[in-house]
Amino acid sequence: MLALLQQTSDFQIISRETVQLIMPEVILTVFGCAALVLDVMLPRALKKVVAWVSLSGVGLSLVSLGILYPNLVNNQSARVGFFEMILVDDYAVVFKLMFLIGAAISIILSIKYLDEEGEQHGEYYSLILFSVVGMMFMASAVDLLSLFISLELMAISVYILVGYLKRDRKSNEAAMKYFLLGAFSSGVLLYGMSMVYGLTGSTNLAKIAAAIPNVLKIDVVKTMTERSVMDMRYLLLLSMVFMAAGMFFKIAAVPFHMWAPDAYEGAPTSITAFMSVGVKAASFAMFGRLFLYGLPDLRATIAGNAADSVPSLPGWAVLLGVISAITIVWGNLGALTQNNLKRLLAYSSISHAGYTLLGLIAGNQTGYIGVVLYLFIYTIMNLGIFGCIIALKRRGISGDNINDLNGLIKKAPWLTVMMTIFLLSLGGIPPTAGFIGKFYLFGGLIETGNPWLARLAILAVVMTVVSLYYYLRFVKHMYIEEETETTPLAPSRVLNWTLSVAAVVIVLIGVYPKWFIDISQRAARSQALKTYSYKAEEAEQPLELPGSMGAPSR
Amino acid sequence: MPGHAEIFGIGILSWVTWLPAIGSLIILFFNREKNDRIRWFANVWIVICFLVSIPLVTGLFSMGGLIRGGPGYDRALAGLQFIEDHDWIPLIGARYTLGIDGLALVLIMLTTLLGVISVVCSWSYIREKGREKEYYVVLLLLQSGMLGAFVSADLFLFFIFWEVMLVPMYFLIGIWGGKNRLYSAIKFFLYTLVGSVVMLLAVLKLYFIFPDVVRAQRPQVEATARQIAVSQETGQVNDRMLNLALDAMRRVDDRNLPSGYVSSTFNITALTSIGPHIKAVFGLSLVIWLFIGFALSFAIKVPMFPFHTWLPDAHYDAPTAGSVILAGVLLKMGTYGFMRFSLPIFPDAAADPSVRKVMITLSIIGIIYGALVAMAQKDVKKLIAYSSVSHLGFVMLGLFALNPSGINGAVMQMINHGISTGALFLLAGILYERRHTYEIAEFGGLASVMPIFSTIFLIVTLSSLGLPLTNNFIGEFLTLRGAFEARVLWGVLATTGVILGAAYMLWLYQRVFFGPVTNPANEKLKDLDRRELWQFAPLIFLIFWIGVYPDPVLSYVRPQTNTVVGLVQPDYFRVGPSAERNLAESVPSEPTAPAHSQSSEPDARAK
Repeated sequence: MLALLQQTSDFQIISRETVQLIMPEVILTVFGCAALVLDVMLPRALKKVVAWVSLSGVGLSLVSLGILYPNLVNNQSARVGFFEMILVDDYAVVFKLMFLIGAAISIILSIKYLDEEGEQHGEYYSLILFSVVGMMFMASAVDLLSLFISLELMAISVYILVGYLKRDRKSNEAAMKYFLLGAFSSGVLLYGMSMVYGLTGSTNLAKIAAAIPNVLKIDVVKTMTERSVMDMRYLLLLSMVFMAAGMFFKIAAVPFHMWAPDAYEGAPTSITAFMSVGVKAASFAMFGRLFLYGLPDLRATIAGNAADSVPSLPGWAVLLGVISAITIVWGNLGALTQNNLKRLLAYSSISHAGYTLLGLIAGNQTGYIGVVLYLFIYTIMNLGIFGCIIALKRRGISGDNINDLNGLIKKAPWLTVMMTIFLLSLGGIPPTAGFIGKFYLFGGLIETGNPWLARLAILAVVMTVVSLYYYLRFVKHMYIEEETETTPLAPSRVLNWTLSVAAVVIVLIGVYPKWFIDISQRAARSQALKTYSYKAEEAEQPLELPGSMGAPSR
Repeated sequence: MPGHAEIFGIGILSWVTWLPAIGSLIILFFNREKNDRIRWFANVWIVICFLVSIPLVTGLFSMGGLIRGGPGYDRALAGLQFIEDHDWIPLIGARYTLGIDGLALVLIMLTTLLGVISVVCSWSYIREKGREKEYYVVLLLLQSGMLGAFVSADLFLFFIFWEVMLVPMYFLIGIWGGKNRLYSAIKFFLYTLVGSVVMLLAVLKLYFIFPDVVRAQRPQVEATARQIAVSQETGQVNDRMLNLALDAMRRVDDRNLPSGYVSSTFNITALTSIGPHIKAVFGLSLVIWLFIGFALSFAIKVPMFPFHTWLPDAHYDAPTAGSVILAGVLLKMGTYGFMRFSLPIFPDAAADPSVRKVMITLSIIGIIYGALVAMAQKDVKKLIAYSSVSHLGFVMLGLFALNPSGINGAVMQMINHGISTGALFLLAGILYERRHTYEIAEFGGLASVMPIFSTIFLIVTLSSLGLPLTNNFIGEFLTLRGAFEARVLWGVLATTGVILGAAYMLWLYQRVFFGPVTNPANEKLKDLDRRELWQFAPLIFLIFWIGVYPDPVLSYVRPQTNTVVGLVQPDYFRVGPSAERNLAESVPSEPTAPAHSQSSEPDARAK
């Protein structure tokens, strides 16, 4: 069939090369379908097989990723396919790697979780696989259409997964909230995209980027009696704000975060884990594509025209700066008073989205590395902490309440130590990975030399101290409080091993981060290729935020 | 010849740093129930850690290929010795660079010694409290963290150790502490963390402006690097340290640097070399902001006056070992930071009259306020804690006197405070083990019940209030001399602190030990047993030794002091009281370089 297609037309839609581009996704899709079929065929007792099949699908996809892009990629091998809808470069590959690792850990967490819930079903795993396919396409899509379709593929799968515990009212409520708000935000995003299409005449991000300077041009027509200004910048900015709003919703940035605590609390814990890392990282991947690849010219201040008294306008860096400051503060303060672990981690993940935004705001290579690196680290550490919570789950005890941690050190010392490592990493205390990530994010801000960004950095670091307060609450309950109930844990060997590996990796990145920084740097560089050419100009006229204290001294 | 020693091909500083951590890893594999075994292992291990640090002073004989010895620390050289340098994170130019100067050496010896004492003194306390395995794991990890901060010659590495220290200390206070332990532990943690995260930003800023300063003023920066590497007393050049710093500067214009690599460095010597020239490139306000970023972190750790509120809580609730380490070493981190980073890297800020005035004022307030509050305490341990605030005020005063005798005195005070206050906390801990209270009113007349104990307490008390022939006298004398030299008023004000110190210490002693035994619970208290007695032996020995003959300690520190003074007050050695002698002695052994440094220095400033 494939060969037939190739012979019949010179105009090849599906050539070997293009199929190779999406091979990891194809494998996952096949396994997702297989999981559905298997689910019907298998008897109740053997449902767990579906999980292992899905896991092997993820593994196979990882292998194909490794085979197809062995030299985790120099930029020559960045390839475009499907009418320039798909771009596979370092950026895409690194993010795909991140999603697959996240998916693998999530599936392992799910096995134990669904066992405890007694809800072991095949469609659960196939939905995870499909959403991962969506995420992977999000990372490599460079066209508004493919971006949106892959976003929806991911989102719809996750809507269902959030409401997966059909007998649990909280789960239903969470799914409903998430779905309604999610659909709404998708609409806003789509609206923004359509306006961009209208303004630039293309859905391809590269073409959009090329067309934007024309849109930004201000035509002033003067006649004897009147002066008319053709200024499309406001429209473009409006569409940018719409798209940003859609993305803010997906990454749960304040003020679009309302759904997150409820959805995180209600969803099955394994899905909370998956959502908090996968959806967030994928949305950041898409965010990066949209804004760095498609709208680089809107980053810094958009020049006006002084002669005709047309004002300059702030770019998206300002928008992101404000949003990230609010997000960091709100997320951390919100987490302070929570007693439900999932809710607490929901707020903490909100604040982490804020931290990650810092890298995009900084707009230099250090910042971009920070984004990728931090998401990578965040994926591992957040899955780790959720894994620990799932490991606590046992008959009759949800493990969600912070009091369930009391005296854990006596019951499960190793689990406690691992949890401590993940918590310290989330708080950014060396020698854990979280510190390295934060180091890059804050470093990016400081490197710009912009006084406003320095203030943002100060705010962000002070808020990490606040975050340590609630992370240490976990520690307090685990180590210092006395045991309140003595039901033994129900350990799962696979889960324990996975968490151990994750904890070791977290410490390893903290102590010897070279490899991880390396791949993040490659990803950041390939993504920033377009922005690279701007870098020289940026050095001369640094990003100016409104009211900044003039050009920095550098 | 600079100090050097390797065991199994790994430098001795790495051994000193990591050995405690390795010990705590080993303890993890012990069976939780075998408490005796764990306790013995920890005690023996910490003694080994101490023994391994001794070659830093004495040198090490070569024994076959596995142990390649070398001379001990060479006092004729300024700057870092025992340098180890390995690649670590090439992308950002962070290297695993270890090296110690005289100041760090003295503090390391203090740390390893107090480490032994803190582990030994926990013997019966922890048996009673329980959870011994975790206790020793945490204690040993803490030891590694502190040593790491002293040996780091790379700012990134330093910062990691600096933050790592907090975690074990949090556990130490939080798990094994007193009544209010949760509150005190979190207060300690968050308070110190605020300081260190702000310092992180200052570190980053310093790191990112490094290339710009080097590019703008390369000859001057290199001259400063040479100045740092030359001992003012002997004129010898520390080549190894100098070369590392120059290598780090070369990275700035390295065309072979792969793209994406940051062309900066965390090498502390290199960063110190740009210190005096930041002002010329970026202006004074940036220097002051950076200084504040670093100083805030250190001032919280010291703690200086308005930031001291965590200290009494932390001390009060920490177990004895925790208090000993907190007083003996952790507080020294702050003053060490000032002397190692704040003063030499930001000399323009440190010498700035208004900054200096603020720092000195806060120090003097700390001295007097700490003493007055100590006097009002009804509780032995809180009294000692507040006396720490007062004593560290002296250290800060000496540092910001910005002259050799002040800084030497400050360093002496750091050591002395570690010894005397460490001993006081041990003594208080013993009281607590006997009576389970720190309340002064509960005691009285102990001199007749516990004669040995009260003798030792008396010696330590007298040392703490600075009686001549004890260690604190030397430190306080030098500090006050420095303060008088800088400004008479400062000296006068600080001297009142000495008087108050004598008052609260002697009053404490009187209330606890003299008079009749009023409380029947005190009638049959056990005097010190042999283990407890022995743990005081080294401290008592040091109290008298430093009191009588302080030069061995001072001679290690002097080259560093001179370097710092030379950076902060470049004119000091030229117009100061002993200008001629110093000029004569600083005739360089290497003809061109240091001469260049002397001449170019004023030029750089003139700009």
